[in-house]
Amino acid sequence: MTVAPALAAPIRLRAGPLAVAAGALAAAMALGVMLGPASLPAGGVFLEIVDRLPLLSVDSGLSDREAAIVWELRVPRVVLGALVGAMLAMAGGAYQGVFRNPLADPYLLGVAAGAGLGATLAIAAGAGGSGIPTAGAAFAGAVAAVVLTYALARTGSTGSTANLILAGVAVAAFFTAAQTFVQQRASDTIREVFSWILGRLATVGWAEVRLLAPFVVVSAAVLFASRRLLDVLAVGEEEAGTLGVRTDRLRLAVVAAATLGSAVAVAVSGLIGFVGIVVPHTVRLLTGHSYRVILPLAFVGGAAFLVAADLLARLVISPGELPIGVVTAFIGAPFFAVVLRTARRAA
Amino acid sequence: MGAVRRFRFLPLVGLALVMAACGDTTATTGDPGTAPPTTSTVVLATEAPAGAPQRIVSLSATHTEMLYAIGAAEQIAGTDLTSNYPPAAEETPKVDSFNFDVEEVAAMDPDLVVLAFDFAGEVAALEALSIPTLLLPPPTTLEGAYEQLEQLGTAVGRGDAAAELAASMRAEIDGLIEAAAGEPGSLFHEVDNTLFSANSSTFIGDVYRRFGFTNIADEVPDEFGSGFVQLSPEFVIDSDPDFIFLGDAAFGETAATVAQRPGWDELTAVQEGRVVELDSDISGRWGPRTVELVRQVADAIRERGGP
Repeated sequence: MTVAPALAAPIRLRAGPLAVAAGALAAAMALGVMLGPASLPAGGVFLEIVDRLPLLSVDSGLSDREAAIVWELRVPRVVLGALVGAMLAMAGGAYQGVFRNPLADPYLLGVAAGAGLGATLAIAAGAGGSGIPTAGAAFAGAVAAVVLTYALARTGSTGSTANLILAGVAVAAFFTAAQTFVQQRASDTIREVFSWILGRLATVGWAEVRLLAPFVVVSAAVLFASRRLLDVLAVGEEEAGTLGVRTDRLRLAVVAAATLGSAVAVAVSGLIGFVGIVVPHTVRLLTGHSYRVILPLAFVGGAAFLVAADLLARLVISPGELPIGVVTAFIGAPFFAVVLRTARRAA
Repeated sequence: MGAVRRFRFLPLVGLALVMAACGDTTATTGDPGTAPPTTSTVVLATEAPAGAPQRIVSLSATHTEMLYAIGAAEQIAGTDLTSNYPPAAEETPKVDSFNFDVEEVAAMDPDLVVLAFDFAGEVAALEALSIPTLLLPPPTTLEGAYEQLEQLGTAVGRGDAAAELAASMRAEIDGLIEAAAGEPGSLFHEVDNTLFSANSSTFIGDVYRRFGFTNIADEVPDEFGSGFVQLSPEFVIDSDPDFIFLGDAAFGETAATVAQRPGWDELTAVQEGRVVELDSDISGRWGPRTVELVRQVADAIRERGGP
């Protein structure tokens, strides 16, 4: 499945695709702050955001309540959606490179199952379906699951990536079983658990953005720095070794960065599936196989994808809301199928 | 686990109704407000308590409260874990109605099982063992609750006591509502902190409607007809309800936690101190303590003033 990139030819991220992705992101974010159950004037929304920027002060003409809708609800939600989408998509791309497996995604090593157990325990203990305590428990669960996966894989004979993936499967199955058990015992909170599992950006505010942003910056920086080495690794593990790449170190650094970033993203937004698979593969099918192109484009494209998906989740049954995980899978899967077909024909 | 397990009742009702509407064919949801609750394999007893069931198992907290209130305490053989009122109900043998096990119930040797939901084929399982059942799903109006109380009373041979209780409840509730007469404005009833709400076609919604409230949840399409709909925070803030009633106060939501939510400090109800914490054991049931629910709403209107 892995195709060696043309190492000979210099590969650069070209401006065209990046501009398209950035444009899509800007459009999705603009619509995200403009549209909602409350019909606010577009000009007022724009001026309100300008007013909040440092050093600028204008009168938006919105009431205090309308201003709160813009600045306390819509803007943090759009920003958080962009951060989560960017993180999950980039982590997915990096995972696929480091495991040389097209089905690898940010949840491969047990992040989702661990976060699910952590969140379920917190919700069963009365922490509620949103908020920082539940996010903290989800993060702790995710990290615990991945550490366990690593420990389990080390006891294996070869210590290969295959070992790690198998250990991840075992750990995920165990954590999921534990989560189901807790959920059954605390059936009064079952809907909050479901609501969390399906992903939800509705109740987030600036607190979640402040929590997630530093992790995304650090994680994305590490992954971005690894882009050339991932290209070398794509040739093959042994070949990369003979070219002087310390594959074990590379793997540890990439997995740690991608896992940590995804774990925090999942902790604040719930289990939003599919982004880590569909976005990097779409980028790959459209632009080629170099991680020097895939990683940055997946970052921007993932942000655009999730903000757009959240917009749909909010509008389809407005003023109610769909869980965003439903939208990402429902829209993402057919969209991915179309890209796959088109790319095959073109090839 | 020494502590009494608390169950969040209303959300489960909503979930169950959604699940039922999604294709479960037991069809117990119907519209119990306009037609009396149906489905009963017991021949409604009209004779004296001598022929009435003597070993009743109640799988519903509401109906446990009703049974005690009409003097049927001696006839109760067991109750479910959510039945925590009156205190005597805590002392009865217990079954877990959310993880229903027909053997557990059969072991109590019941001659009547009363239940509010048929989530997982409970009625069919009991019928297979020839255990008489009485399924009384949540009503959607106050009137439906009175009717159900009388229906239960008749089934356990205490029809007169039930009719008397229903009449006194009706008189007291009508009196409270009349005394509070006016235009209390709009309200948001919070079922849980994912902002599920109850519209006017639910039991609690009917209570608010009788007070003259406008329910903001009525503006939201109710695809499954369950009466329980999920709102977005933006919709609640934009609607700016005059009152917020917290049906989830038992789960840690308070006027203070509501005020801390992003943007909610701009709400009139928050600024004017009109966020009311309800006792969810009362607001989530439709038994004799509905009088207390109505009194709590009436007090809130009187003490905190309308818009």
